Amino acid sequence: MKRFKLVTIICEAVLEDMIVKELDRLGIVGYTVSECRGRGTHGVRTGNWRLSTNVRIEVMVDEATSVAVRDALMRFDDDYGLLMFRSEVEVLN
Amino acid sequence: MAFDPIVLFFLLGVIAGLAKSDLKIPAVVYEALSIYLLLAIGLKGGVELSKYPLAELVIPSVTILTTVMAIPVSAYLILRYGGKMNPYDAASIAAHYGSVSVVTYSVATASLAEQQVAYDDVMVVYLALLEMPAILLGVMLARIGEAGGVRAIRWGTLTHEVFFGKSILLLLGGLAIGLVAGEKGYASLAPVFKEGFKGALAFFLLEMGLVASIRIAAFRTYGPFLVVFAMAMPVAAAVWGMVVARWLDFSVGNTVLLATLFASASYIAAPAAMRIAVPKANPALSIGASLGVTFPFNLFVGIPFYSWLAQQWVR
Repeated sequence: MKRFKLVTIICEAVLEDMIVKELDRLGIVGYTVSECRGRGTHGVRTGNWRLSTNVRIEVMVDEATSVAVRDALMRFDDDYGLLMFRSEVEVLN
Repeated sequence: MAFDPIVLFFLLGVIAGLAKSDLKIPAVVYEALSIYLLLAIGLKGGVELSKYPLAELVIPSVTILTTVMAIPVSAYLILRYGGKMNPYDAASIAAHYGSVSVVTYSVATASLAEQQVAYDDVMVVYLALLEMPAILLGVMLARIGEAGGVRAIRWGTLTHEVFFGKSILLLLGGLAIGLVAGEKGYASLAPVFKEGFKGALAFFLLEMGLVASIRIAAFRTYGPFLVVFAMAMPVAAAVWGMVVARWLDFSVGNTVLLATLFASASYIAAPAAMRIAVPKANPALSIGASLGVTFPFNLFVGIPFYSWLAQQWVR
């Protein structure tokens, strides 16, 4: 089975386009985006309109690329709601 | 002072939100309603435009675009130096107040229709024109004191937002389609875009009430200066709008609409653009002031007051 790092990014919906651009630049071919809501250090994100909606962006990459993703997105960390985490995954098909 | 019952839908939404009711309007319905409203407003304006000598719009458009800039500039100075705000928040809030609210405008037209005061749907042209310039000015104001300054602004992204952002695209697209279709072509679209308009606006106001209730509940966190600003600024801007409307010799109805456009604060286009272009501004303050204070203020006090004042003045 192929092993990958799954990088999950949960952030403000307005960041989606900018983050996808960074992923493109890093040569990442696939990603999955879903809309979500919740609560964090930036307060409650109700999801009832675009400005209070979050998105969850998931990409599977190798370890070196996962570090590159982190480095590329850190510039958004100061001013926007942004959470990134990484986990081990195995692809089944 | 007249009061259109449609604003009660907003009140219902606010009550539902404050009472933590399980009422929730799905985000897709909200999106669909906003697309419908923008297209319907654009179409109506376009149909009227087809009967209108376009050259007559040039002087008022230039006058209105120039004079409206007094609003974001004075708002910035008041917030920056009177309210001691940081330049990012001052510029972001100034952009919200310089820009316009489509829903506030729609409620004003509904209220004029209710009072049987005539107005021209051509006013939609100014609605479309006024949405973006103040936002661009706000972005520039935010960057003035920064390293790189105005040159560091990503103009490509911003101009794309100006011309292809959802609201401008739909308003201008609707105007163009209405202009081509004319009265005859519009007749078959009217059952959906005209007859359904007020009902859709009522739904949208209900949803806005739900969204605004969170901002209204948080008004204490905005500070007294911003709360007073959010009520005084629209009144001052409306009076300025009436002065401009008098210069341009507008009818009573059009004077009320121009005053309402000047008074209204954006809470859809401006927040999205400022969040991207001025990330250091705190969106809770600008959206809180425009949606939590100014929008309900204009609905319940502002529009009735502006239409009363215009009728005294223009008569």
